[in-house]
Amino acid sequence: MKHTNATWKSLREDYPSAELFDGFVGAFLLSTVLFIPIMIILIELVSIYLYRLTFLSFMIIIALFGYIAFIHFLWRKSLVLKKPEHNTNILNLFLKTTIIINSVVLVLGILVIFVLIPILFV
Amino acid sequence: MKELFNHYSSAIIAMVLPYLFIMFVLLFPIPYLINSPGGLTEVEDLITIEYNLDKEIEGTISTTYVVSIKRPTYFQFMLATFSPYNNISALTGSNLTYTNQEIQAISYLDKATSVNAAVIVAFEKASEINTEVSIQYERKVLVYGKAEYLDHYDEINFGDEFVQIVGDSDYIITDISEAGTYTTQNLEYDWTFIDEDGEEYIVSLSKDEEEEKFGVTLKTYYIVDQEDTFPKYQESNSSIGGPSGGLLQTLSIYNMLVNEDLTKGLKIAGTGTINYDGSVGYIGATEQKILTAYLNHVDIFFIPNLDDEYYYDNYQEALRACEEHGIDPTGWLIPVASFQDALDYLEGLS
Repeated sequence: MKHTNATWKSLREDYPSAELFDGFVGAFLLSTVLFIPIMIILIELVSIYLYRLTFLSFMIIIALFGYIAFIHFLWRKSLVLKKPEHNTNILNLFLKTTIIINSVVLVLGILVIFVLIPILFV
Repeated sequence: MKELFNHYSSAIIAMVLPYLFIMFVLLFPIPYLINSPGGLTEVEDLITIEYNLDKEIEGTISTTYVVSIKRPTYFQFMLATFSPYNNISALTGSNLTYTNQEIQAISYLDKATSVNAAVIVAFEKASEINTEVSIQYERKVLVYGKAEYLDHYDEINFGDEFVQIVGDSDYIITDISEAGTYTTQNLEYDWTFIDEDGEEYIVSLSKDEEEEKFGVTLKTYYIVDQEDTFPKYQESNSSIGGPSGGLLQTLSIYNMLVNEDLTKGLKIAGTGTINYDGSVGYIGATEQKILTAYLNHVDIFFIPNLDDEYYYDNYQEALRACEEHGIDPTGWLIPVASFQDALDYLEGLS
């Protein structure tokens, strides 16, 4: 954790906040545009194959993993394009962040599957 | 952001047309109806009764729902063709004239009135053997259908209560069967309704020249008066509409009111509407409901059986569905014509 915090600090030294934010917005927009049809496909799959809801919900969780990872991939790409000669190991930092966020997504997803869905389908 | 977009500009430009095409396939609706298997919902999750709370119910009684998609997208249509469990048909009748939101409103009205019918039938039956149980209900005439030519179409909502019409010579019509007789002289008549918030409102409706009708369909229901009913019950919010759970709701409510446990540890499901006299009515999407029961491994599945000679009798449809999908119906598919039939069957189980 200490190491991760230090890496974030190093990243902020490499890039001003405005550049970090700008890179994130670009990555978020591109990833979201790409992810919207994937999400619609999965939702329409659920609507037709509702009796496979649990399996398809896990597919949605996996798709969300991909979405989070893709945002970080493009964010890193954006930062590298902005300043190729940086000192921070961005790949390592974003990999850790992706794993942390995806763990939260997994926990929330499991809660949705086993708690929220049974409540909704009354 | 600019660097990123510049770096991928050729890919972005190349993807624009395929992307628009994919979005069109994913979002453009077509006039079809898809029915596919859904799931089971335990009635206890929908209706709770403050009575017999220490009674242990070993099994479950569930209604069966299917997924019914009106106006699917091209992609949903394609997906549906991949599984023999799905049924695709062209949209017809009221499904074609109503919007999806209106169909949903009718579906929820059906569900709400079905629960009332189930409560009435179950409480009345239970009161025969348990004198503590009592029920009061009132007759209401509600809006169930709207024709395209209906005046004030958007002001009158499904489920609004009909109160009266000021007919010819100011005759007050409260019985809708008199409407034809006392609305012949004028072009417009004042109708009074009560909306879902309990507010009374008056609208002037005229008859369509071709149809010679006002364009509003009314249906009589009996709504439970909770104040004078014992024991009290609570209905949870539901995301599933339709009246087809009536029979199973009646069975489950009855089971909550009597001392004996009808379930005997079994997973009981079924389908069929319930009428106020306890008889069972036909339902749609029988094939998908049978498949849902099969996929959920139920022990008993009740299905309406009113006329063996009728091709669309639900039991006959169910037998055909079983044959088509290689399902053995022996022992679990139980035909019933009334709530009493289902009750007799469960009471006869050892």
